[in-house]
Amino acid sequence: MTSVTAPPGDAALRILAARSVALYALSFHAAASALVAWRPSDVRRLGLCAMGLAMALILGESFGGIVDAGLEGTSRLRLRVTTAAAYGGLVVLALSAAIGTREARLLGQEALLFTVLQAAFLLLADLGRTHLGPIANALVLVVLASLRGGVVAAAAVTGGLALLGFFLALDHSARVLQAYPVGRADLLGATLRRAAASLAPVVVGLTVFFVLSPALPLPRIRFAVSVPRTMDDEVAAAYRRLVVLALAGSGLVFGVVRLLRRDRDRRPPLEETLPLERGAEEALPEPEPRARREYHGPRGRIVRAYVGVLARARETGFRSRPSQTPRDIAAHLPGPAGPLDTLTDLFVGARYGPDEPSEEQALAAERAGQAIAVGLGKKKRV
Amino acid sequence: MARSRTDTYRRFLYAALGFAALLGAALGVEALMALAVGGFALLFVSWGQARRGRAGLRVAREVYPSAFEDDAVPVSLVLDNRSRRTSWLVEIRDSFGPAVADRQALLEPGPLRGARRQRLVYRTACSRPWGIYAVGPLTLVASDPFGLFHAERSVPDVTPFAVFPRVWSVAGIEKLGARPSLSPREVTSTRPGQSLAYLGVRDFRSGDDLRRIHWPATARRGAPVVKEHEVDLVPYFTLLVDLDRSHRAGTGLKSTIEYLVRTSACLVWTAASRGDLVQVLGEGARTLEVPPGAGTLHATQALYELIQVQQEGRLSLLDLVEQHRMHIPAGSTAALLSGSMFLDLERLEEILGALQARGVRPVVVLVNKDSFLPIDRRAVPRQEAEAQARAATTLLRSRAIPGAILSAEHDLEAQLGRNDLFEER
Repeated sequence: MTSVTAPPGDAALRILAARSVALYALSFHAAASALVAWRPSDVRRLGLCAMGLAMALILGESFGGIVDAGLEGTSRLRLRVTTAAAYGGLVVLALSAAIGTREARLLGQEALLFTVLQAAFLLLADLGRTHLGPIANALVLVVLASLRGGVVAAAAVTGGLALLGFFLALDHSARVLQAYPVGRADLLGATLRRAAASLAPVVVGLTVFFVLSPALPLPRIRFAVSVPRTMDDEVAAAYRRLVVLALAGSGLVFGVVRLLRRDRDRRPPLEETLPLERGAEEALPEPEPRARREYHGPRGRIVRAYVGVLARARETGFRSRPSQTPRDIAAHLPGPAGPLDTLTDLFVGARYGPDEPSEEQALAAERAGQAIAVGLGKKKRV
Repeated sequence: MARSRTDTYRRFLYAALGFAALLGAALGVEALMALAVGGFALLFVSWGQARRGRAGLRVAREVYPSAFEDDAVPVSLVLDNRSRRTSWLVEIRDSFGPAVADRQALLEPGPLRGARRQRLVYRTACSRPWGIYAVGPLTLVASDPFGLFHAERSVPDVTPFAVFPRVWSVAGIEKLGARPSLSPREVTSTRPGQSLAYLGVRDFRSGDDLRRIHWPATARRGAPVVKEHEVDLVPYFTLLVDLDRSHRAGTGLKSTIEYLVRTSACLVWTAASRGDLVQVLGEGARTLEVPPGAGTLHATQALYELIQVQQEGRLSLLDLVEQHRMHIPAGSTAALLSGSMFLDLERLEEILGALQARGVRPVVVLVNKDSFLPIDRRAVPRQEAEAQARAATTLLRSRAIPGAILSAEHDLEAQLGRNDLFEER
């Protein structure tokens, strides 16, 4: 039986919708950061941006498959390569121009241009297996915002990385759940918790870094006289508005994508994905503690001398196999032959023999052990 | 499994973060460098999590090692999480040889808590024809929460799995020996034994079971007398299979080896099902010798030997019968399954006569190899083949020996299921 993909269950749909929200939040955060950094930020413009991106994503997630369905594999690859090359060229050109001229006005225009491009990428979000287009463009917007320095750059970098992490985590879960007939697995909460736990050290680290060392802007930027420099309190107000708009847009995206999203994936023919029947979970049996025999008196001293020599030999790089007998080990051990034979004989008698060794034998074993340790030389440096 | 993962994001992050680091260093923009450092830290954390996620996981397979063609097979997997962390989205890949698909991809979505064991079952079908297949290896894949890194562990748990040919009841064989009853042990002989059939009474001897004392007769005679019963005769079926390499013809499902193995399997299974002691003898690339035995387990062993035969022998069927004549007990049934109709009929008659003289009931099944696609030698002309078939039929009829000829144009299942399979010729 080579099965085709079962329709995604409710759990997968929830994760798909959450992934769309994460993508939207990342897009809006990056675009808003770049716009706030380089253009006059008022509620109307940010609202327009939030609406535009939300609509683009909803349209892309809902109807992007129509474009995808009409393309063959080769055409899709050709389109992807051409788009990537053109986009890469545009990014290099834009950044070179911005850094070369250091004109705030030009950076503002580029922020607007890449915001529009972000909407275009979201429209094509469902084209292909990954969402690389919107991710790449969002990072370009974050880079543009970083050049501004200050709170804007700190928020752009920290938030961008966090949202990217959430998007990747949700995308991974959605991808896996879509590939298998999973049934009733609800992983949304677990996915978010795992992502948050992994992202927390990175985000906290970046935050501490930016608090201790506020980000500096790109040196020698020329601002137009008519455009006043944005103050930090204005930026904070802009971010408050941004959060409200992002929440509203996210709610819209979540609801609509859950309503309209349909799965279209198909599996390669030679791999069948099968449902698993889960039995009861049971506790693993406790591993039995390794019984170590206790040796006392002269017997113990001889055994300890031998074990000490083996430990010393291991430090010098000697490796013995469990199948080797003490005499095999002695034959391969690069130590002085006389003490080695003495110690091996005494060890075999003490370890396996019935009689308790004498005090003299114990002393002889310890002396032989010391002689061998000296003969083995220095520790091998790893 | 390939659909569930992508390396695109990871490669993109390597490139983009590297570019950001270079740009930040060149322009002296700390935020860009922080972006690069944070991104690489995220990648590093992900890499470690994928490795740790895999480290504590162990998987083992439990599956009954044989099934018939088209059977649904439940395969149990035992997934152990020996770490203290909870595992999520563990992908398992198995390779069940008898299935059409190369791989079986499975997902344990989790949560699988630390120090816990989860038993999982997937069901697949033996879609490939009879033979010995490999099951395994198993592959475990764990990922980090972002799906950037995938840590794989291959478990070299490769075990053989036997797929037996589908068996159909050979209707004709039921009539041989006229014992299609529910009890397979009803034939008895008038010798003292352990059957339920009453033979008579005799004087008590030391060691006789006291429960066997016939009290009325003992009272009449004044000395202890015990009851005697007849001995059970166990029905005995011997299959002699022709694995002579000169009788190879055809390919795939329409080949002499296919017909020989399937017919053998059906005869063995039918005989074993009705309670016969069954033995199988043949001489292929290696000796096929299934000693006499009864029951399903023995029949399964016989099938296991049959699916490993190769038509590479150099001993003719008639020589095989001569060689093993002493192993065919009196009163038993001996089925001679030949890969060709072109046997030495005079010698065949002699052998069949000798078997009948010893009280053996012979059955002859001939596979018309010339009806299959010729491989290494030309097919005999049709008229010649028809003449040989008539001659063989006449011989069998003259000695009242049940026989059948199977050809490529026959549907084997329908043919073996016919009630008059051994009657019309």
